[in-house]
Amino acid sequence: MRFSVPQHTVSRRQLLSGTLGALGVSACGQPLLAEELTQRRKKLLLLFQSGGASQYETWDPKPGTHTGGPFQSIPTSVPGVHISELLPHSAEILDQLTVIRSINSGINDHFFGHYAIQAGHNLPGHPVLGSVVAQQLEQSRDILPGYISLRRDGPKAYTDVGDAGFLGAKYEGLRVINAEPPEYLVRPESVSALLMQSRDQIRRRNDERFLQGRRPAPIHAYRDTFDKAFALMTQRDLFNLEQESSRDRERYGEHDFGRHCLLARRLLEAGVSCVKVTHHDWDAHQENFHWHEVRCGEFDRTFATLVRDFSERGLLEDTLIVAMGEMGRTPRINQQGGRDHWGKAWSMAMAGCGIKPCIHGSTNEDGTEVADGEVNHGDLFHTFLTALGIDANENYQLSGQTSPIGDPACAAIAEVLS
Amino acid sequence: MNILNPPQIELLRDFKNDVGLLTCAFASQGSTVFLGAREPGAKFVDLSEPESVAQTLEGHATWVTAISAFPDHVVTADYSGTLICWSLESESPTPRWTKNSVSIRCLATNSTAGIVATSGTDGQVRLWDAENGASIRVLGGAAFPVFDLAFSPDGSFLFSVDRAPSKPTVRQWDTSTGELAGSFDGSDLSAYRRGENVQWGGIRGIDVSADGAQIACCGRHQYNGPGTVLLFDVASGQQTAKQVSEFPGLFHTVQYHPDGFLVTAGGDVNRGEVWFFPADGAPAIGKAPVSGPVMCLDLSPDGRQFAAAQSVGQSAYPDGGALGIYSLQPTAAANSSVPPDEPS
Repeated sequence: MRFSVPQHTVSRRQLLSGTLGALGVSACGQPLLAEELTQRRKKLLLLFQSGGASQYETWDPKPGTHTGGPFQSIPTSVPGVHISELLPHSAEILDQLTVIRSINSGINDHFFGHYAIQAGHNLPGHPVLGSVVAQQLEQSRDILPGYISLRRDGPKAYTDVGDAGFLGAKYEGLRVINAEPPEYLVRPESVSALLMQSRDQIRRRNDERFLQGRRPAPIHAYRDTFDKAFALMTQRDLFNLEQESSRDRERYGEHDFGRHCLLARRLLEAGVSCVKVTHHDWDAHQENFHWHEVRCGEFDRTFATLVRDFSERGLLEDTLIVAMGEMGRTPRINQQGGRDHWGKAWSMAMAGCGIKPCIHGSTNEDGTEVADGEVNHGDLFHTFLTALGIDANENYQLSGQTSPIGDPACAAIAEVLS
Repeated sequence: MNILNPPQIELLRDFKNDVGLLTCAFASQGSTVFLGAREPGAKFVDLSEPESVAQTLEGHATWVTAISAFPDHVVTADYSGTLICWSLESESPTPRWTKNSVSIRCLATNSTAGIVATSGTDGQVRLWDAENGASIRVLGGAAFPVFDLAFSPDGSFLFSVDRAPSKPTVRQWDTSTGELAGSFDGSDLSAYRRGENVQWGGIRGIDVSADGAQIACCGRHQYNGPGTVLLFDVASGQQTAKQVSEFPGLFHTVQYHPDGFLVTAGGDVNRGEVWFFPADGAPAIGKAPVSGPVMCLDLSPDGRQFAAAQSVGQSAYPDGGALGIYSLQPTAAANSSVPPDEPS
């Protein structure tokens, strides 16, 4: 006796139309044209200095003061503006950068800091910047995950704090470790491309059927994970940095951060909305000065190369590049020659997407407090989203409930927006 | 630990400074000590003057990180890479030559070979002519910051130590050719771990025995362990001893005493100690507390005193620094773990 369950019945017409749709062809054979194809999409590249870079040894030096440390400041391409001597390459491109010297987040903790600076909220549960951008800027033609996070292996526990929250697994950051593609991206030889497509369509149809009468969230999570994996299988070559010229690989830097930034450029060019590259080990509680020589040495040349490269390729107009950590470092130098956590007065830099190159805000003579133009992490969040064309004053619509995208008590920094 | 015959120390002079000290060195005549601190400029004190205070020498625009002495000369170096050779022939040190390099963390001098060696964050070891500061050559160096340098007695070899994350290494350089003559595995000393913040990893200090046959290195035992000294036989390149102390801090500096034993010192937050080890690899023969974490220690030429560059204060943030001048009275058995014969 044949047994048939109506919800498990899939018609041949339905199956074929789904398969053809996945191949970009309508059932009548006409190519699909979406309005989004003609729109230029904004993108975000987040360079995260995990551990907290010292503002004294980067963007807001105080040479000659009791808090300033041993390094001098150097002139930049902006007349009258000096930054640390540890950032000579960034000094050459400062006319393309926006530097915020007046951040007061009030947060001195790695875990909370990682979350708050990326979520723009103090209350837990909000999605982080990458997930927000992935969701808000997604387009129907997107193949790749909207948010990819690049880091090396063996990070500190706080490095991965923050996720998509209530936005769901679809907007979770895909973690790529050591610039290596995720495992199992290669289709087995025994499975043809058409067979793989057909199998995926069957999976999708089954998921749709299974959804009927069931809670959608877990099913969507599985579906979204499969979709991401499937998309990456077709784009595996993105991870092959050997396709880049030796010149580019050298000038980006033959280290983790350099390779990740080069991969980030490839991913953004391929359509990913947000890539986060973590530069590790800024938490210099000991030997702050020698250590910043090392970290800034890696960061500076790669960062300047990145900005120049994006500009030359015409990407900077639509890509917001943000360089920041979760906090700054103390004015006082401890017994071990280090600087500790400091959320009261610290700095970050950004470029692109129409942000006005300028220096915003200032600290007092010894850098212990913000003197002018104080902003917090919520204000920065608003600013980033506004530059990307996202209204942070809007709300998420969550099954009948709303939640503000940005903290309503905060606002974008108008002075740096075009 | 053999405490029957530990060397005795006594604080003779204590020169306070507004900020913490980074380095110190006796001049060859033994009555002047040079120091560098977390402030611009090198300083010196004249120990022959009972009421002397530290005087600042003009020439360094930033913190002096390393000092080494020749007969009649002292060389100082700073974070910006400024290298100054001071003549001591007149009443007050006067600059003889000045060179500019990249950030310098350590330096060594050898009067026999007439060479000054410097290194630092970039890992490259540079040799300079002691007479006029002319650059001799740049050795290959390491891809990691170099923490300390030491010459063999005749100046034919230079040893550098670094903080390579997986394997801190002693490198032996032929100073006449610039070639790498050997390397020694310092893995027993703490290494930086990936995924961790900055740690006290690497080989922090090195010295060469008077006969050039042995080298001593100091640091911290494995990850976050106690202060430790490693001994190596130069000819074979083999580690011959690992002397782990009970001190829960990092040994920054190690030196061979003229009587043959080892003097090492270091610090943890608010705490500093000097430890003494025999050169035969036996356990420590003594220790003594000092007023604060010791960043650098230098023996006087006759070994009867040492200078300690320290931070002082009771909190995590120092209230200042101090150059401690201590007398050192080693006993007859101080260079061995074997106690002296009892008098009959």
